[in-house]
Amino acid sequence: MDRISNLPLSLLETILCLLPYHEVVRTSTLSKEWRYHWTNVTKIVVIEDTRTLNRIKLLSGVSQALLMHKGPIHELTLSIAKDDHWGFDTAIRRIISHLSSKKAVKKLTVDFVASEPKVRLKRKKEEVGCVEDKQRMDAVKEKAIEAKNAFIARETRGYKVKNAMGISQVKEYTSRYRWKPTTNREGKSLPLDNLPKEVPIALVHLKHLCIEDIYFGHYYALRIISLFIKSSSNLEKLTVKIKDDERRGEIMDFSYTIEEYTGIWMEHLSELEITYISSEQTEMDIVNLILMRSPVLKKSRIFISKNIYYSTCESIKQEA
Amino acid sequence: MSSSSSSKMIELRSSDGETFHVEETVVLQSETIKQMIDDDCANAAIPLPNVTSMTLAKVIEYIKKHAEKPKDDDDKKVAEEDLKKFDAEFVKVDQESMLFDLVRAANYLNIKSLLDLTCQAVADSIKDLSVEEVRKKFNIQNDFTPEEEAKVRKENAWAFD
Repeated sequence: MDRISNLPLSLLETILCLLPYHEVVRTSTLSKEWRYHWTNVTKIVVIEDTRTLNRIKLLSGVSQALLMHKGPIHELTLSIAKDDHWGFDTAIRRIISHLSSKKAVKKLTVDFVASEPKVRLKRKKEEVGCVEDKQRMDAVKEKAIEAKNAFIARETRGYKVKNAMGISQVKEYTSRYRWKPTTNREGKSLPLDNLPKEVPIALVHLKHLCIEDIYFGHYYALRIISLFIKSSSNLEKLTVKIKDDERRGEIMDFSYTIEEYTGIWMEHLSELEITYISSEQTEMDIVNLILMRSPVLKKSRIFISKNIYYSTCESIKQEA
Repeated sequence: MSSSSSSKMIELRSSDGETFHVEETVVLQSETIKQMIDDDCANAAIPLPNVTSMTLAKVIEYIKKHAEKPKDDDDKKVAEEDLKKFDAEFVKVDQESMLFDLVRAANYLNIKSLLDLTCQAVADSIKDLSVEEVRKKFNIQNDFTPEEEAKVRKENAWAFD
């Protein structure tokens, strides 16, 4: 008897759930006994790595493999770089459509890995070139979120994702919003008005919203948060993980008023978690805003950035 | 807590008849044993017919380490780091079969963190291996004919690139 096959089936599947999907599928060729184990995994992680030669082929392979899947799928994670190839949206749509028909998905994570443009930020000397490059970066940024939202809208109409799937957790990765705001030569922010005012669907099933790697050096951040909160009327838990890196503390030139966010009202929010807050005014404002607009908040955990001094820690504690 | 003197001791008996004495507070990490204690079935030695003494000793080492409580917040960070290191070392076992024994024991004793840790270790050990390497590692007999294998492979050709 071999060592791994004599584990109980449930354990075998637990282990398979921890592998990237293409490796899970490969186990079909191990032996006859292993022929169909892969069709029963409940968690699927599709991940692109450095050896992925063709991501369209990977995605369409996944959508094809899902047709053979037997058991329920509780979680599916797609971690893949956005691609302009025409087949990209089709393949993703097929995967989501398949999941909708399964009706058992509890968690769907779509992480369009930031495909950072290969432009290096140039310093003072070439100011003009610098502005252009940054603008180009912002163009990429806009496209990413628009594409994403358009994508949600299309899925909703075509496959009734929100009703069929009962998504209870959505993760929005925002690593691509961490850049500094685009500045022109006078150092003023350029308008970024292309951000949609609302998410095209009401996320009524959304209970837990997790925003990772967000960077508050830009008013974009608050708008993204409010965008999702406004559409998620039944939100119970909000997690905001602030990007804690050396770019922190660079003073940004921007302004906004809390009054702009009157639409934010979290009637069901009972749990709040913010990690790595610093003493920056914007971040404090956001905490205040959330606390003010959440009447039934029971539990809030706020972690302080390790990069700030003790005295500011104290003042944060007092204010919170 | 470390006030061991006052804590009740629980006796566990492995499949090969060896007995182990463990503090009740430590052993409660096993949902299975907790249930037995709650049902008042733990007055005599608890027999664990599915767990050998070698595996049980490892499991006890694990739950003892995980029962240590940090004194304050500063200590907490250090303890977390320490625990991470411990976990990483813990799954570096000499024999592959030990890892599977641990998976099975963690499942039987229902110790979730240990089960997660060991399953992850098994998954990590397979990750990035070719099919042939996985077969060799886990001693899996390939009972496909070459034609059959090629056919299965063709079914999901995308996964083999």
